[in-house]
Amino acid sequence: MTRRALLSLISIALPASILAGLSVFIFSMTTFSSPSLVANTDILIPETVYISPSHYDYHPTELRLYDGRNIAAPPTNLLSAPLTIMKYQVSTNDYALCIAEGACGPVDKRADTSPNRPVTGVSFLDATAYAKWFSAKTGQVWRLPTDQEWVVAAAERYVGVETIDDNPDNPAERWLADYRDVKERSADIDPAPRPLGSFGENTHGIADMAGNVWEWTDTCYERLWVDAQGNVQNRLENCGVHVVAGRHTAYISAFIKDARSGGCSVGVPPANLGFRLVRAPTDGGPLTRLTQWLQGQRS
Amino acid sequence: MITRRNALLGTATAAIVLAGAGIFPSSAALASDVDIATLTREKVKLVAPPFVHEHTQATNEGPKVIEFEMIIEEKQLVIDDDGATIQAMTFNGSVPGPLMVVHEGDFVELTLINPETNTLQHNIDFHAATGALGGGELTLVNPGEQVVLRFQATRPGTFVYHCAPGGSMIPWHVVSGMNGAIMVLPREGLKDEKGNPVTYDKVYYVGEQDFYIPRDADGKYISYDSPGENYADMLEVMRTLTPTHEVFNGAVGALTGENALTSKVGETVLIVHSQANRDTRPHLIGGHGDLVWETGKFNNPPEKDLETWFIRGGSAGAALYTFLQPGIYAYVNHNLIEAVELGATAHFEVEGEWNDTLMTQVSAPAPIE
Repeated sequence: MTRRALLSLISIALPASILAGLSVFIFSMTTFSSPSLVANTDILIPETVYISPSHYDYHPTELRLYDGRNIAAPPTNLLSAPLTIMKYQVSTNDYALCIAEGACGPVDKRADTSPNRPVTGVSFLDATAYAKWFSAKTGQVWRLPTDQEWVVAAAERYVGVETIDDNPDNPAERWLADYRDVKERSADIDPAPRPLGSFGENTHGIADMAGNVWEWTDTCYERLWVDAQGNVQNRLENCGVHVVAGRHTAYISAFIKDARSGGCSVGVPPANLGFRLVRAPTDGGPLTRLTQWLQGQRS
Repeated sequence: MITRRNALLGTATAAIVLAGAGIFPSSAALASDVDIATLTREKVKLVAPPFVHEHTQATNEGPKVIEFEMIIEEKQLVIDDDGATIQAMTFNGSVPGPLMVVHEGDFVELTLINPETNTLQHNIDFHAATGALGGGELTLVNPGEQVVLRFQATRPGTFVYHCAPGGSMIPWHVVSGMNGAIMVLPREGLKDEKGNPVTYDKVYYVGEQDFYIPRDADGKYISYDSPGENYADMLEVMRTLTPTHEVFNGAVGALTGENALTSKVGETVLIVHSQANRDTRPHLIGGHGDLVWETGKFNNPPEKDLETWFIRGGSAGAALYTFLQPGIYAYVNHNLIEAVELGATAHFEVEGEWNDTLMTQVSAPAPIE
């Protein structure tokens, strides 16, 4: 073969083989896009939704104290970071795999463990154990969303809490207002867990947001001390208590699997405790970035 | 020789002496003198708990015959947020049955109806009544029957009534919801420990109920289609003496949220509390019992300033409180496991001005210095 012919061959063969290799690679990435099912002991990557940076109204859960009294934190408009979140809550099937492999604790005795339901009766500790196991299993980094990330993902499904400032002369005013607010907000939803997808999808295409399962977040109980301008002067975190998110957010102790008798939260306790995970972006190199771009997971 | 005339004269003299000493003669002493046919009759329409029908407290009218009607209803009730049910047996469709209010010396005339749609025999035992097993012997009715019982309310106080058809049926009917209470007020109204008159602006009736719901092999509560079907299973749970539910007004959370009790600072509330089967110890979180008739009987002076009072199973008591602070109060059975895990909690929403002297937060939570 002449040198010229060889060069021509290489100039065709090299891109061709790269393209072939790429398409095989892409093909292998796209097959794992259906909701996870227990087929055997192999874990399947669950379907995720990518949310590009967007503006949203954040209603903080944390308690704010100004001049010694609780004040309502005003919603702030924030720009979210890119977010990849599970389309469905972690299922009973998947959680059962974690238990079978000895990496997760049992669900609450009273929880419904029927297949293809969101796993419920799990504590924050259970959810983080699952995230750790799932990350090891998939070779990816999965974690609980923060309360802010959850609110971004929930979109119109998140309603939030209307609370009033403490009246320094009458602390009971806020207690009564909160009690009445909860009364109005608590619709009578049947607490029995339903098949994944039963509560429909929101505008992001994420299923079952703010249904009858309240989802653990990574965000700890926090108290802030602010000045007259709302600037934070001091903060104190208590990670023994975490934020759970649904139509509004609430605080529950980290070890609680069943919040029906109440937790640290005011008003109507969450019917069920469950969770879904967020995949933290891992820069796997140019090929991964290209793949993700092709899949619409990166902008 | 003691003639009837002498005896009556003696009684009358004694009555005058007692009246002179400021103590009204008990109606029992005059029982034989009353010609019931001449008494005024008053028909009272009962109201579902926790509310109570209208009534006067102090009265200067003479004894009357108060006519009540109760229809026994066997019905399925949902008793908690998970949808657990019971085939309940009820007086007038509610657990507890309604509170009746009469005055000492009145005659309670109850028409008890057991509609054909029911499946069981029922009756009623009034703890306030005298004789015939509280009226149970004289009121046994089959489905399709009705009966009328009249008894004299001779003792002032709050008293339980409940169904008691005989043998093992008795506890089964009672823990299926078939109980309520009657309040017999002194004719001159309630009095404090010194004998000074006290009145209430509002009265609530809280009937506490222990339920014993059987569970299947998976631990789920079983639903039945009729009371008879649950009998054998329920008896097993009853014999553990440990209820699965302990609730106010028939269900977990029945007196909370939209149905929370209400009051305001400065208002005086009487809380009548009954437990037909099992001991309980009411406590108003954030408040007290200013005057408490723990045993429920108004001829005894009330106790004062109680934090928690004891209602022995099979009785009804009464507590009087004037709210001093606004906010949310929980009224609970202070076995807190029963209050929180089994459902024995009610809420009060109380409006009004805050009293900073009674309580204030001197400095808000802050990092430790």
